[in-house]
Amino acid sequence: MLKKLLAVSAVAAMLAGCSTTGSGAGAPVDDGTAGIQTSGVGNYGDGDSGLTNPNAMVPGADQRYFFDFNQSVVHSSDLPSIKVQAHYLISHPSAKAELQGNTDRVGSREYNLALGQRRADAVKQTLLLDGASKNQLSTISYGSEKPISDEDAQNRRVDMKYGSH
Amino acid sequence: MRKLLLLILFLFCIPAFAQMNLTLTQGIAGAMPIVIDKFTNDDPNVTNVINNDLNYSGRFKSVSSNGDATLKGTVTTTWSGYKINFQLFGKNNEQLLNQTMTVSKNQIRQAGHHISDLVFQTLTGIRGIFSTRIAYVLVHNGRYSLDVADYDGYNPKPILNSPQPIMSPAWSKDGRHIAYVSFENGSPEIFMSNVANGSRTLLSHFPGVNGAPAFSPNNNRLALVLSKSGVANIYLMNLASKSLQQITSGNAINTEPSFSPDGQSILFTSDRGGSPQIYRKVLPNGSTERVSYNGTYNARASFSPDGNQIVMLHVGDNTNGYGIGLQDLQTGAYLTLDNSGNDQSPSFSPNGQMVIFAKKSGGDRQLAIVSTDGRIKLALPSDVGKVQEPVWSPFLN
Repeated sequence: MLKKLLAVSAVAAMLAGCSTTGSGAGAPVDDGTAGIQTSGVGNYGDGDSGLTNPNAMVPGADQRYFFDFNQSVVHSSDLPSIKVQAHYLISHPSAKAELQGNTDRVGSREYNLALGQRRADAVKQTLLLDGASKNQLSTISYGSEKPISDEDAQNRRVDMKYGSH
Repeated sequence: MRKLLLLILFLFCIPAFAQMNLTLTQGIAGAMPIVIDKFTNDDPNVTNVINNDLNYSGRFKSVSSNGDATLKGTVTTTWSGYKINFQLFGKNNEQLLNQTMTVSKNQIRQAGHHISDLVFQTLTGIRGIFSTRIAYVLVHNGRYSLDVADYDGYNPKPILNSPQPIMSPAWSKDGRHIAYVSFENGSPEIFMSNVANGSRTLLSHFPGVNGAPAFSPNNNRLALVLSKSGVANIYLMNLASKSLQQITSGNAINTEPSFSPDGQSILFTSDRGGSPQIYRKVLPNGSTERVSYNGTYNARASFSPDGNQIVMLHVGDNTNGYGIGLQDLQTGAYLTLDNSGNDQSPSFSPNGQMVIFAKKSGGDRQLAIVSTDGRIKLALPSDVGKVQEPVWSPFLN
């Protein structure tokens, strides 16, 4: 019976993209990005028409911040949005967010893994400076492993995902 | 519990296999003509394996007569397999090799590769790579498979299959283990698998990046990259005690360590000067120098087996995107080996004559091989999926 149950859970996990297999040393992987290999298109940001962030000023909404080629400097145009999210975190001390760093698909994968981490850390630092607290924020880098678009510029991003991370 | 669930998960997910077929896309004019007579009674067709090997090498061209060398052989069926006698003759019909080997029925390809190695070494003075293997990551149907295959793409076997990304395979210098990065638990962690039996060990799972594993020449230490104290930096792990020693520091990215053959220095990628470039750290005295000056982006460098050259991912001032570059460390001379615009992951063959890498071809990432003089080119296309991050094994015998 237990075996059967496990098998059913395993199949369910597979159907869900085999994504939430554990927490490990870092934060759990997010369901929303795990299925992208099959189609090359994520189920996050389906409505995005360009490098804009329609929910930028909505407190507590998931965010996507873009970066320049090989850069990990937060765009000044994203600072107001980050401030809004920091204030949301200040006023909701139990809220948590994961910052997922990503890069374009070209170049060295390991350099990209480090670059994605530095991008996630850059957003985290900005949120901390705006008053969010450390225990509300976790970071992870996917480097160039989880692209969402054929457009390189769309892939140079940090996804801020609220949840119980 | 989680492990059990994962195990069941693996059982349910069908492993992915890719059939890859090596083809010579560019040979050289001066290839040595060699007559390869079909071996007598060669039902298992070992001659075909040898013929392909020598032609793939780019240094030989099989001809029907008037060769500079002639290979002949006889296959005898035994109760357990085959006995193969082969003889190599020079231009004046002088005998250069005369050997007999006994193999089981499923070792025909290995036997052919072994004969090719001997012929190649006898005629060129260079050790052949026909019995070596490659490891690579196959991405197919949304799954990732870390596969090991013969150098020519035959006999692919997965040592890990996962729904989450696998990166950066690295052979131990004895060819027994492969270290790699796996996201199977959500974040990048470093594992090491035994190639023969698949057993594996979790080596590193600190918060943040755990990446870019590279074995030291004596396999006692693993260089790796951790971001646990901020930005990505390089550490050395003692594989027996698991103790760590940090060897780079600062606020720039330092990654992709690769040991020199003597174990005394490490090449790595750093963007401390603005763009990613190759640096070398000498371990005994701690000094660091920049190695790459040609181009706007250089990464993923590794030493040739003799330590005299490095191969790297390269973007030049006037090149079309990402290519593969070779730099002579003595003279500083630089040579572009390939420039498809979207190349990745160059890795030397253990005899230092060839470089395998991944390139974008018709929308998919496939493997390719180029000689270190840039004159011989081979394609290793896969019938399914994307094949990336190839790494050539050391000599295995």
